[in-house]
Amino acid sequence: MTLTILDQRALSVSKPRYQKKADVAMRSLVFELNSQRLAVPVEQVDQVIHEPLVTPLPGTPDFMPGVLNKKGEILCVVNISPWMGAPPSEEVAYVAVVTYKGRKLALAVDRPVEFRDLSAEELREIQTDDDASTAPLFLNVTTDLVAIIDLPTLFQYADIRKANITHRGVRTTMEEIS
Amino acid sequence: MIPFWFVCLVVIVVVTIATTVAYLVYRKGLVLNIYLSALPAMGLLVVIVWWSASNNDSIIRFAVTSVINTAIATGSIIFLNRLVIRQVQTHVQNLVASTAQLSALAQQSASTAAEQAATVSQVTSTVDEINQMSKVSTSSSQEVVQSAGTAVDQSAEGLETIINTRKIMDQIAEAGEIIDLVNELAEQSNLLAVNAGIEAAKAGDFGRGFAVVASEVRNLAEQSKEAVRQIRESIRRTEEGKRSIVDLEHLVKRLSDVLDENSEKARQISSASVQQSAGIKQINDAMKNVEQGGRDTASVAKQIEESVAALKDLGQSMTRMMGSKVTA
Repeated sequence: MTLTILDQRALSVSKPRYQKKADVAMRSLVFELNSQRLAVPVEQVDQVIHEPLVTPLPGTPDFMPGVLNKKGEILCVVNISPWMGAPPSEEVAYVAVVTYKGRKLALAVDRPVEFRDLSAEELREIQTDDDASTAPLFLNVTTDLVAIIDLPTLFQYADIRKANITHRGVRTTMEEIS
Repeated sequence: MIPFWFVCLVVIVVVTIATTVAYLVYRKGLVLNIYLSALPAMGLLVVIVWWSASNNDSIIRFAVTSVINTAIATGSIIFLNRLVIRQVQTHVQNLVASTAQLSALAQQSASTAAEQAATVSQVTSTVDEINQMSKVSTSSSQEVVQSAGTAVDQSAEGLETIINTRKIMDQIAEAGEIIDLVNELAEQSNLLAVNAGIEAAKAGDFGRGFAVVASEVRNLAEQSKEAVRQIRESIRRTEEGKRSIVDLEHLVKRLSDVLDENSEKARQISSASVQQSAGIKQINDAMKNVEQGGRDTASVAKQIEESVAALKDLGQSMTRMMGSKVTA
């Protein structure tokens, strides 16, 4: 009996601290935007940049404050505040460069908060109307109200070619212009 | 020829009349010695007349003439004496009346002098008390001067301490710039830790150890930021304290100025108190002199009163001697 306890203790002590828990569904990067906590899968985050040099472009939609140059790569900066019902902030404190199927965009956030391992138990699906014409931007929400951004939907919304813009006083899209 | 007996009779009658007049004059208080001295002369005259009558009639005429002349002379003397004595009596009465007034004045003067001496004595006593109070006041004012000087010194020391404290607070405020740099380093460390965690996550199981390191670095960065926040809060409170210190510095400066003024005024009060004490001492000495003068005046008035009484007695004695019923 005593040996069993000691063996268990030895195994517990020798167990790597970084051993992945079996019930972890997703490791995410939690950040804050408009006093709301949002998260994206950390595997899809390329880099977090502090106070990036954002260059505004004329005729761009509201969710796009401009573009930035990341080591020679021009990325669109996307602020999802308008989709959350809040006005976009003029200054961009941080951007998280996210990737999806080889495409990249810089997601404007107020500040990174933490890395968090999300279990399946704490993830809740967001209920939407069946009649909704557009897919929801947030895939899940945790029990403590951290919303998980659905990156395919984000990239779909942030596609500047299909976004509504004002060109010569006419509401149109880049695809129609081209 | 006139018989001798007639001559003798005439002489006797004249002598009798003269004696009677003299007696009346004596009763009136006039000079007696004149008549007493005239009686032997008249007796001698009678002898001479008797001796002459037995020898010659011309002697009788001489005798009659002498008797008549003697009578006239005696009457004149009596009249003049009477006149002089009346005048002397008048003067003596005036003298007695004057002495009475003088006596009353002397008594009044003595009484006034006594009252004055009593009043001066009271004033002297009061001045003595004032003198004692002035000494106490002088001592107290000197203590106030010392206390004011001590307060001024302590105020200066307090002001110097406040200035040093303000300088230290200025240095602490300058440290805020360093804190900003530390905060910036913490931000950069946090960002590096975040990006390291992202890279570790991308590395899968191979990067989990690195993820732990990145997490610890990030924790350190967060702790640094928290420390910076606390230091900023302390600096902010220090800034508030600095404003209070600056206000206190101005207040102590004003207090120091007021203490300087008070110290100067206390010195002036002390100097004035010393002068006042000296003046009161002079007044005290003068009042003692006045008191002694009052006593001397009372003594002199007493002596005058006694002298006047003696003079009055003398006048009354003279009046009695002259047989007058003059009363004072």
